[in-house]
Amino acid sequence: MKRTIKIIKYIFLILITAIFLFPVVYMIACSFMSNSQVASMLDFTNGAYKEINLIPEMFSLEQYYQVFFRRPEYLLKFWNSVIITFPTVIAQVIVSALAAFAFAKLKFPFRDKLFFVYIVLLILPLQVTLVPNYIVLDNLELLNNFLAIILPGTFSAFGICLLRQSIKYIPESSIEAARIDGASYFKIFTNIILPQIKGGLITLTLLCFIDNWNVVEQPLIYFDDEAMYPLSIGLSDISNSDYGIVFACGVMFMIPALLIYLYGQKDIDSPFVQVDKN
Amino acid sequence: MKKDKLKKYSIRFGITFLIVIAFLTYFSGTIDNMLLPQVKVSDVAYGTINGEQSRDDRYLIPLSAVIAMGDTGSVFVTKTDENNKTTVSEATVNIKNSDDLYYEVTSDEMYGGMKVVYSTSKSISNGDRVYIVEE
Amino acid sequence: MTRKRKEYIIAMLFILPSLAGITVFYIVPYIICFVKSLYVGNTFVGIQNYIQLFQNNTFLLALKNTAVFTVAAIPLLMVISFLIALFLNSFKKISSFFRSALLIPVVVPVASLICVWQVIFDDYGAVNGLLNSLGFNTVEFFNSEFSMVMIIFIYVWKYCGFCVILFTAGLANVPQSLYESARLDGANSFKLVTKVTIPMITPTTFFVFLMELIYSFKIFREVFALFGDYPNTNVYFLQNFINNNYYNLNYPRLSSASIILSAFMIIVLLAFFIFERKHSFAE
Repeated sequence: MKRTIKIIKYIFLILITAIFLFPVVYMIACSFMSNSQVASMLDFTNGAYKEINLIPEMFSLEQYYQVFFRRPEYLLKFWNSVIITFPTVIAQVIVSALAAFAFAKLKFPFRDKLFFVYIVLLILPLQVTLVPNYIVLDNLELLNNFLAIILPGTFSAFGICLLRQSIKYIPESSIEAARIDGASYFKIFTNIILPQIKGGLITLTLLCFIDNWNVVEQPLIYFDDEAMYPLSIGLSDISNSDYGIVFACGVMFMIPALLIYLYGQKDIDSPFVQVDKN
Repeated sequence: MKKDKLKKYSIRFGITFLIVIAFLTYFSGTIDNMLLPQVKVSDVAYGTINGEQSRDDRYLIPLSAVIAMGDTGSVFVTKTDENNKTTVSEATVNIKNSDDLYYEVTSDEMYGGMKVVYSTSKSISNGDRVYIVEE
Repeated sequence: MTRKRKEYIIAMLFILPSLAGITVFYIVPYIICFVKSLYVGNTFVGIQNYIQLFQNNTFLLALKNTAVFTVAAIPLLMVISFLIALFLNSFKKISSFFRSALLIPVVVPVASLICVWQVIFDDYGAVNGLLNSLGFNTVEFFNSEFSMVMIIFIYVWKYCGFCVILFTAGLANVPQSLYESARLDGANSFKLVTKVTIPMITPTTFFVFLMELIYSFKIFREVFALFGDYPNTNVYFLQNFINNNYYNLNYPRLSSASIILSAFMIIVLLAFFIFERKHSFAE
């Protein structure tokens, strides 16, 4: 009896996992199909019902060949994505960690009220600030510049909320002990706080990376020059015209995010666990 | 131990990935052009073989540039756009005369200063992109 | 200098970079937006723009759809991810492979998946193929009330894993002793969940709710990629409304709609805050 329940539980577990893993498997499978097979798969006008087909009729590297060797414009877009995303992520993690430390461990007037303002800002949809931001960026003469996306992206309330959550779990006593030893606040921050919130930093890096890697709205509004568009926009465009390479391009697009995720996967849930990990 | 391995490999793979993409991007133009048909071109010159004046415009085209079929033939002329990308298009010519080196032709689709393809590394057809090899 | 004062100054130094950026790129734009919503051209019209907005059928439709989505999708996602988290928690030891699969949907970029969703949900897609072979009529996921179902499905699928991870972390924080004492009092497993687990993880629940709220309007990217500028009336959200008015350059309408959307979100947030205060046992 117990055994049956266990088996059913495992079957259920595998089922859930399969549902979550499906898109990656599907995309990778499709990226090795030939152009004609992909085209017929995405042709919805022939009146036949689609099947989820994971098996290439003829295994082919054609899509990758096209993306990596014949379509330099997608490689350039990839670099645009990198230029937008990497500085944003690094800057956001630094700025957020500093502020989160103050919000979590230092006492100052209006702390909680200010934090509530941050939460409100956090939930404001992007569309709300898009146009006013345009005016601000215009005055700062940052339009048509990658900084137009990097700077607003750097200052996000999200990172502060997330890191505050994980800093809160660091016991007050360890900070107090360091203070008695005469360490400065900055020393406490670098030597005590940062090493203990590695998980939080990784999680923030990943989520912030994904968010900026997927950026769609801002470049469309802030950039006139299509050569500056990141790959995320390029990908939405080719879905309509260039079926042949859409899956390989998608795989290329997904690799950096997957790598960061693989790098940090063991630490990712730790910011939310307050049990002592020793 | 296992954890560190995954980290190590994902970092390594990530750096390799970026380097490979950077490499490919830098050489993307080169690779793209290398994979195109390599063609050699020559200018289309006005003139006739025996040096006489003619009522209509006559052009001299190297023999190997013309795919001749009796009195008519076709040549590939190149067109370079503002992005420095070259495409070929097919033009029909009427063959009037020839010698060891040149065909003397007339054509509505040609004018002086055009370049015709006289040698190519791969077979080309109308509208293909090509790369012009300098002599 | 007193210690308190020193701490205050230091705290300000730590916050300064973030506060400066937030002010320039969020607070100032937001104030500009609010001021603009009170003007037409250069004339001050007070709440005229808002009144007009509420007489605009497209806007009301967008507002209704956004409300429906928020009310339906967020609790649904919360319940599903909580149940999966409980399920995962019932294993003594679980391979990290299963846990890491959970985050995959968040990691995969939106644009990469559009084709996959089309193959699945098109009129001739895989789902309809299945329904058809079972003898049901075709469901037009891209052009009927089922569009909302599809968007909710994508939303739940995408963010479920992330919420499960948050919940499992929360569950791990519940002291085992509480369960044991409750069991000694004769509680069954259902009682254990409702009387011990749920109250104990309220802070986590709040955090999950916040995340879900944030992500609920990021789903707009999917709507946009799947439907374009003008989706059918069932999934025409406030973000679509704002976006389309952006292209029309209708600033007064745009900014008043933005203000209403944020007011809507703040109300939801406050409601949850109050709810949390009332029901929270921990903290």
